[in-house]
Amino acid sequence: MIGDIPLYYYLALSFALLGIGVLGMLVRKNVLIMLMSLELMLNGANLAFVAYARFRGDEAGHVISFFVMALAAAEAAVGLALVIAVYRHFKTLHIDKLNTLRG
Amino acid sequence: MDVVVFVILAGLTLTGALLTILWTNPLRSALSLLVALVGLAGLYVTLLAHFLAAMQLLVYAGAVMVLFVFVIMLFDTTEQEDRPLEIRPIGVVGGLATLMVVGKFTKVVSSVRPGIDTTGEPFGENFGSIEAVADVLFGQFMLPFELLSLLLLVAVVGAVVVARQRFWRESK
Repeated sequence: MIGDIPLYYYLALSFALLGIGVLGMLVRKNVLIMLMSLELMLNGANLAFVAYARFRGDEAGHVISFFVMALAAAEAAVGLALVIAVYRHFKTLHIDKLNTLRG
Repeated sequence: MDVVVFVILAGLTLTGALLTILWTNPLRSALSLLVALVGLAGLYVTLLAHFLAAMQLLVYAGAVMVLFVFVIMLFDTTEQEDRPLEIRPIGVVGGLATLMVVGKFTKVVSSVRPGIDTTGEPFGENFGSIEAVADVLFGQFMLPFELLSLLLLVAVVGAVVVARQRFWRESK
C-alpha cells in the first residue's frame, strides 16, 4: 500500500526543497530566479503540511496548504507586477543594481 | 513498490528544484520549476491528497508558471542567456551547508521515533477527497476563506495598478 512510506521521507524532501529555495534566494542575483526560489520554499512548506495531514488523518493540513497556494499565487502576481515596473525604470534585472533605496 | 514511486517522484522534484536555481537562462529555470511542481503534484497523490494535487496543477503549474513565463518573455534576456554559470564561493559553501543541514535533519527526524507508524491516525475512505476538504474548509476555516477572497481582490487590483505605465508617470 501507499502507506508504507515513512513520514520522515516526506519531511526530508520538504526540508530539502526549503533549503534549495533559500540557497537560490541568497545566491542568485536575477530577480526572477529569486521569485522562483520563493515559490520553491512555499511548496516545500506545502509538502510538509500535506504529509502531516496524511499521518494525522486530518484534512486541516490540506486546507492550510490550499490557503498557502492561493497566497503564493497572489504574491507571485504582485511581485511580477513590481518586477515589470522596476525593469521599466532600471532596465536591468540584476539585484545588485537596484540599490537606490540604500542609504 | 511504493518506495520506487516515491523515489522517482522525489527525484523528479529535487532535480527540477536544483535546476531552477542553477540555470542562467530564466526561461529554462521556469520550466524546471514547472517540472518540480508537477512532481510535487504526484507526491500529493501518493499522500492521498487528491483535491490538493488537482489544485497544485491548476494553480501552480497552470496559472503561476504561465504568469512567470509571460513576464520572462517580456524582458530582453540576451545578455544573460549564453553566460555559463559562474561558480561563486558563496554558492559552493551554501550548497555544502544546505546538504549538511538536510542530512542532519533527516538523520534526526528518522531516529526520533524509529518505528513511526506510517498509518498514523485512522481515517475514512474519502480522505483528501473534495467532500472531506470542503467540510473542513467551509466549517472550521470559514473566516480565513472569506479573508482570502478579500486578499485575492486586493492582489488583483494591486498588480494591475502597479504594472500600469500611467501610474508611475503621474506620481513623478
